[in-house]
Order: sequence, then structure tokens, then C-alpha cells
Amino acid sequence: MLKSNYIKYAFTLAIICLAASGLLSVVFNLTQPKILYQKMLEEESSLKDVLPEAANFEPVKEGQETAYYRAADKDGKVIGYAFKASKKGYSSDIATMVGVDTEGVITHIKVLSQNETPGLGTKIVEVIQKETFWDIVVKRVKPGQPPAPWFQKQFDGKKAVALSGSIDVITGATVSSRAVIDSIQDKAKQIMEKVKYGQ
Amino acid sequence: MKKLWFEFIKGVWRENPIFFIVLGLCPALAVSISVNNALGMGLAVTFVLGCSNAIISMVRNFIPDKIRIPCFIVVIATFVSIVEMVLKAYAPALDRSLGIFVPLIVVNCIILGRAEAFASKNPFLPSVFDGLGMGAGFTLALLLISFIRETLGSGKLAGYSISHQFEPVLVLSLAPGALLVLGLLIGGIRWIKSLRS
Repeated sequence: MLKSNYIKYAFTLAIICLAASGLLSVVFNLTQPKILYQKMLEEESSLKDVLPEAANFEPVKEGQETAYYRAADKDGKVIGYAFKASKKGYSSDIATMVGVDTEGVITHIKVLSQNETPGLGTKIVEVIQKETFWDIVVKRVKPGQPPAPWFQKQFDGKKAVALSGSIDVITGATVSSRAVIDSIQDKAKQIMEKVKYGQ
Repeated sequence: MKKLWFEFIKGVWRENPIFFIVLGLCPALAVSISVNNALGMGLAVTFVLGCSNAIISMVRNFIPDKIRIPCFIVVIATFVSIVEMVLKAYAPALDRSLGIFVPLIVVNCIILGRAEAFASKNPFLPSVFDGLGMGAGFTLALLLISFIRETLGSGKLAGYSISHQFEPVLVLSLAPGALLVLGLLIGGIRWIKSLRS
């Protein structure tokens, strides 16, 4: 009697698991193309954000990984490079997309992902919107295009390989700010070296 | 019909999962930084609760008592995976800000608690309404906590600042602030309830 019970238990659980995995594989197949598309879209829009003048981005591979992107204008002339930099901040890895021109001067940067302390470290992505909540709800003001985060705006026009001292670090978020600055500077040195030797 | 409404409304007020049963606090504390996050998390939990309660009440007579917990977990995990994939595909921004807390719905005590305490003992329709009601109660509680924490803690509402003159009370958007707000809310709400009865 005991033995037959065990078989029954295993059988019941197996059926439930089978039904669950069947349902999951259907949903997976439905959503997977959409998820990949979203990822691609995100990458593309961040490249466009950091190098708005470029018309075409060509990934430069190093093995399987994309080391950096070569950005060209409409006529195919190389006008700059874009690369991802990341470093551990205070409580998370901060990943940044960086656009530089051929001289190594930063066009724009964009923090792609971070999970820093709310109210302190998250100031690296803080946007100061002119319209307040009341303006939108009570006065019916249409919210304008949000401005670029003020911390990241400081990087525009700076030399990527020599950032130290030229960026104001955020009060109360020294570690997060420094992580962004250092990661960009270190990665820029590597990338510019590679670009110079035409790799 | 009246009975079904009763099953729904008890989760919102009389047996609110956050304020009266006090279950599933970990995600509630972590996610209640902003109203947007709270709403997203609340809806995800409501969907999982409704679906898992529905399935479990349908199969409750086939599941042997001894293996009911693994069976419940499989059902719950399936719906959580579905929510996760759908969020990644259609709301990637929300998925990023909720982060690890979407997959962690699997171990949210409210869901397993309702499966064990209600859905495994009751027929289909009451179980669905119980799940949706508990989900609605969870969502409302999260919205209340996050409203207080976002307005006072970061001076914003739904991502827009309320006034440029207000200097926010930073501690409320950090972890200790979550505990403070929740503790005061539970105390306050129970006090109101004791006054009424």
C-alpha cells in the first residue's frame, strides 16, 4: 500500500510539472523574439543618445564580445567611437555608454544601469524636470522633453582619457560619482589605444 | 454573488495581507520607493495570486495532502515566470526597476499562504475572488506606503517633483524609512479599526 502511494505522488507531481513546462514553453516562444527586440532597441537608442550625429554604428568585435562601436556619418566617414564602461559603485555595478569623437573628446555619456542608494547614489541619473506634479495635474501643462541628467552633462566636451579633476563629484555620492568617472577614463585609455593601432 | 463580493472585500480591508495578516513584507518594503514601482509590483502579485488560486482550487481534489506544498510551488512558479517574461517583453523599464523582486514573488508568503489557507479548501469562484481581493489589498497597501515614502522621501510623485522648494526627508526612501512608515501605518490602521468596533 505504501509503495503504491509513492508512485501516485510522483505521478501527480510529474503531471503538474509537465503541464507547467508546456505552458511556459508556449509563453517563452511568444515573448522571446519581443525580448530580444527590446534589448536591441535599447542598445541602439543608447548609441544614438551618446553620438547623435552618427548615422551608422559598426560593432568592432574582439572574439565574441563587442569591444567598441565605430560610428560613421552619412558618407561613411568615421566621426567617433562608442563604448560601454562599467565599474562597481557603492552598491551595484554602474554601466555607462560613452560616445567620443575621433580626438577622444566625449560627446555625451549615458548611464545604462545602476542600482545605487536612492536619493544619494541615484543622483548620477537624476533629471531636474521643470514642470512639477501640480503643473501637470492641476494646471494641465504638457510635460516637456526631460532634460539630460545634470551629472552626466558635465562630461560633454571633456577629454575622455583625462577626466580626473574636471568633473564635480556629487555631495553624498562620492563613490558612485568616482565609479562613473574612473570606469570611463580607464576604458577610454584602452579603447583609444586600440583605435590608434587600428585594431 | 454577495458571498463572492465578501471574499473579495475581506482581502482589501478586514484581512488586508500587509496591515492585518502581515505577510509578504519583504517585497513590500523594498519596492515601495515609488508609486510606479508599487503599482507594477501590486498588479504582478495580483495576477499571480488570482491565477494560482484558480488552478489550485481546480486541482485541489487530485493533489494528495502529503505533496501539496511542492505542487503549489510549481503552480506559483509557473505564473511568476510568465509575469517575468511578459514584463521583459512589454515593459522593460518597469522590469528593470523592479529587478530581483519579480522572480522573488515565488517565495512571497501571501501567495503560498492563500493557496494553503483558502484555495486548497474552497471551490473555484470563491478562490479566484479571494486571490484577486488579497492582491487588491496588497496593491492598495503598497500604494499607500509608497505614496508616503515617495512624496516625503524624495519629494516626488509618479516621478515628477511636487515642489522645487521642498527638501526631502531622505531617510524615508532608505530601508529604515520603509520600516518606520510601515510600522506607523499598521499601528494607525489597527487603531482606527479598534475605534470602529
